Amino acid sequence: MEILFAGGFLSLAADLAGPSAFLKRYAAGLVVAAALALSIAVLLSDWPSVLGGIVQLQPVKEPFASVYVVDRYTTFTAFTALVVGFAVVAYSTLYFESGRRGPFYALLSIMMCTLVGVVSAGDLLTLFLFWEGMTVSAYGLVTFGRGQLSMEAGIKYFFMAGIGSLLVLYGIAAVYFSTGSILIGSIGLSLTTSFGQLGFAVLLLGLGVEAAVVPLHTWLPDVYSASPIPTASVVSGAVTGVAVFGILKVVQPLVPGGGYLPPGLQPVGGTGAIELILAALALLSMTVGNLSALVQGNVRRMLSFSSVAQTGYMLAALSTMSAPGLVAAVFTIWNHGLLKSNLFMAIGKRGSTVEGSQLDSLKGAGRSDRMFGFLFGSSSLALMGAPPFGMFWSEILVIQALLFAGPAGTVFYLLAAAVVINIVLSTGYYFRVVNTVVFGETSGSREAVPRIDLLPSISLLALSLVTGIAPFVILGWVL
Amino acid sequence: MIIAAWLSWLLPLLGVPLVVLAARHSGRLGGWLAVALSGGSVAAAFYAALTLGASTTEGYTLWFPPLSVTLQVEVDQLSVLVGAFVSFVSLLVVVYSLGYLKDEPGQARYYALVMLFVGSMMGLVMSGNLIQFYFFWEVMGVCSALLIAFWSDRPAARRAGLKAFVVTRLGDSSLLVAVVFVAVTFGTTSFSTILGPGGIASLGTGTIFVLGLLMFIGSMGKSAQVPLHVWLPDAMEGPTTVSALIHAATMVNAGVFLMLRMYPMIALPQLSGSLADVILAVGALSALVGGACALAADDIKRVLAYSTISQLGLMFAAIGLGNLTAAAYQMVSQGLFKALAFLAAGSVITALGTREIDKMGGIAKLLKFTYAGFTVSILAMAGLPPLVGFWSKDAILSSAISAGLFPTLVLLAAFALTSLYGFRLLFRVFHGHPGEAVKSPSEPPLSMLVPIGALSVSILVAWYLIQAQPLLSSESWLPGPYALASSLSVIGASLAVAYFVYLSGYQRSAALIRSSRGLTSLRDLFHDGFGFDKVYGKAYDGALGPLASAVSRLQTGLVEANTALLLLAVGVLFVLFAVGVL
Repeated sequence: MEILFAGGFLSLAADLAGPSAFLKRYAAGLVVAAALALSIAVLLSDWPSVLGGIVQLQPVKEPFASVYVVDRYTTFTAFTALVVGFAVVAYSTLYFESGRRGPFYALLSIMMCTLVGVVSAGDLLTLFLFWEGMTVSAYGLVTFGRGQLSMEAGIKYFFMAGIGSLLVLYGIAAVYFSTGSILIGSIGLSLTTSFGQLGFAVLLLGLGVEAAVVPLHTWLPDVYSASPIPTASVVSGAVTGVAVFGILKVVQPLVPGGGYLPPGLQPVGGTGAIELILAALALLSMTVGNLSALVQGNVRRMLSFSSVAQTGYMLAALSTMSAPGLVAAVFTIWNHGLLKSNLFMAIGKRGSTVEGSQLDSLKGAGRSDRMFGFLFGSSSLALMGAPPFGMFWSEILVIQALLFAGPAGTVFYLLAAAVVINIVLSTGYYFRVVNTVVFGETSGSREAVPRIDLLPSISLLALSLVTGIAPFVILGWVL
Repeated sequence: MIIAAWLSWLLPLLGVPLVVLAARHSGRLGGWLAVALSGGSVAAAFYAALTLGASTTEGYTLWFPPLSVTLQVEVDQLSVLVGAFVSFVSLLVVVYSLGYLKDEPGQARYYALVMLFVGSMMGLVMSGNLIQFYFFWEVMGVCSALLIAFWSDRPAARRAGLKAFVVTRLGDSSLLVAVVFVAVTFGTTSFSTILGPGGIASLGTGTIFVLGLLMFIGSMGKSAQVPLHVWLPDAMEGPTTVSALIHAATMVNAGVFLMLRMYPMIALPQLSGSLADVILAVGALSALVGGACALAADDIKRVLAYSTISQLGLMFAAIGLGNLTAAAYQMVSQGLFKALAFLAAGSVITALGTREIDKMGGIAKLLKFTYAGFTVSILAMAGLPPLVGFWSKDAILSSAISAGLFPTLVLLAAFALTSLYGFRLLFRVFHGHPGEAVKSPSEPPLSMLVPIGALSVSILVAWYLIQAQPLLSSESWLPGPYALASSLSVIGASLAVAYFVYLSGYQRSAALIRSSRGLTSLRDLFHDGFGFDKVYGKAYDGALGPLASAVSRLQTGLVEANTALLLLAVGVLFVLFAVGVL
């Protein structure tokens, strides 16, 4: 309930933000930041009460009988999105120097609201509504740069996401057709008929567009590399994660120990095929993502393919259809969100254009700006799973989920092997960019970015460090 | 005692931020703070060693709840022995750094990474469970790669850091699977539980073998065993202090340490020695390959790196032969004499400004102190009694003699190679005619000489401590008379050969190698490290590179192509539905 209140509050803030942006540089940003901070506070105060299980809410009965669910996974992911969003808003107030900023903040806060909505939707139609809202606001944010490239990226994104939404809608219709219910919890029932299973698979595929699952990921590199930095930061850190959570959401009702099924009860209908589809998509995503990232000459494109690979790891965890898999996925969303958005913020203005984010033009940037070098280097190392940062534990959890499910099917052992091989592959390109950007010879003198601009990025890295050194603090909220 | 074990690794780790702050103020201050922290760690580790009673495990806080991991220390003979030795060498290397890195930029980064490394190595040694062990194992890997690339102005140093990271991660990923498998299977990774009767021993034979193999592959990466050894010679691009500390004395031992810790698994009767045989084979092969390459390398540090590969191979061979005490002592003695060799080599490199052996020579009288230290180190490496190397190597040989003729011959060949390259280095660097780099070299500052002196003394006296107490098993591990006789004759013969080939008749032997095609190609084979790098390079250029380019071409940037891919995915789904898979 409180989360929704917070979400509504955000929309309100967005309205306010529009006119105030003309008055003062920081006003709009501060309003949205305050709203996000309030949401985070509300979320935190409410958290202990959701640790027990799933709370189902229906705040409005008629005529829009939307249902919401709140449990540890939704709360944690909403928290992730809000933390990233907060950092991005703080960053944006420093990033934009001139021009109209009001609509940007408005869109951003609407997007935050839709992200929380997606995360806590309790029925498929509510999920779809917020999903569409997320897509539209993300489209607005991507094209905010107004350059030709960001327009092109925006159009590609809109096109792909549009088809994805159609598939989602079709899937929802099929599930409703076979069960007569659109509640998330009833998905288990839909799998009793083969038509329902097809619908569910199509639903997964549609959600997979936004989550950048290979072969539906093709819009992502353009969006990551051509949109304004704050957009790239929030899309990479929050939207991709929430989109994966969308998949998690429809998988969760099938998971023994996921909260929907009574303990010991298996889901209705044979789900082996769904697991296989998820496993195949996971394998494709991580392999294509990592291999493509190996040969990128542009840092932002490299980061986008690394996100595709990370989506693959999360899907691998989800494919096990087990409680450890859910924990692993949610925890990876958190770790990836912090680090990826922080990398974009660290790159900042020097990489705001495609030329500027080429590996060659960023070469040695960390040498002339030590703080940037430290941030960029640490975040890259952290992202490939080096301790003492949080991603290290994510990798362990993903493999744990796979090995845990191993006795149920050899495919999971093979997938675990694929994950570790992919992790090794990824070290190649992460370390390469560290070598070039942080340690490479400088081609000329560059100005150091003011320290305050790096503050949001530093805070996110610090959170990741805390997660790595004291994982029990963060994991206590999801277990 | 147990508090000391905690302090020995927490002290350097908690000190990292302080070192950064201090070193940003002044590099020297950061250095001295690092010395103080290392000193504290040494005191704690030695206190734990001296007051060791029964083996104890102590854990606090649920550190990583999903796998029920607590922060644990395990204090037993193995951990206190290795802990005391690691902290001791670390302290000396940090002291040496004060002089060696004087006026270098980037001291904050250097001392912070070194302290992080020392804390992690001590944390690894004291770890009570596999997850914690793996955590520190990975932190060390990061520190190692970043320190190799410390002089980042050099492209070679950056490449070497990358290579070290990728190659060791290959091994690490294997270890990761093994560790998580143990955690998932037993609900705990605590050594005392998984090595107990209800632990790994209760698994099927095939599972144990695969599990052991996965862990061993991890060890091979970290401890630079063939074929995962290729990163270590390149790692010599890092500062010599880093080579001495990480790539000779401490981190490279972590793989051996893991095998020692997990030895009850290797020795399980149902495996009937199969895992031990694999370890023995890899160890013996590495000992030979490393030794042969050390004979042909022309960079003083690369010689020492190949020598490390060879010596680590001997430790694995000892584990394969079941002589744990000999393996542990070989670890300690190799750490001491190799750290000494590197520190002395660092003083030579500082004095002459080159790493190439061909440009050195005839400096024995100019750098007397360094020469004395280096000689002690080479003699210990060759295994001359009563220096530390003798006891551990001959104990390994004794085990080989009782195991059969073949391992004995292989080990004797490795010993011969050790003496040969050791004396070659000694003669070519310090004796003979002065090379072109020799102008007017002088001894390094006191902060660099003191560690050289301290290590030399420790090599001279450590044998007394070692032979006084058989730490790891009550069985006699001391070398037998056959081992003594054969190894002494090998050392003598090698010394004679090295004298004629590399000192008195150097011009003649060099001409002989040049004129004989067979000898030239043999030397080139050794010099190129048996072509491992070329094979790996070809594998990348021929397979992975083209594959990556091909895959990246999927990204056309065309909306039509993207949509086609999407529709293809939907199509596949429908086909699956039609054929009844769904």
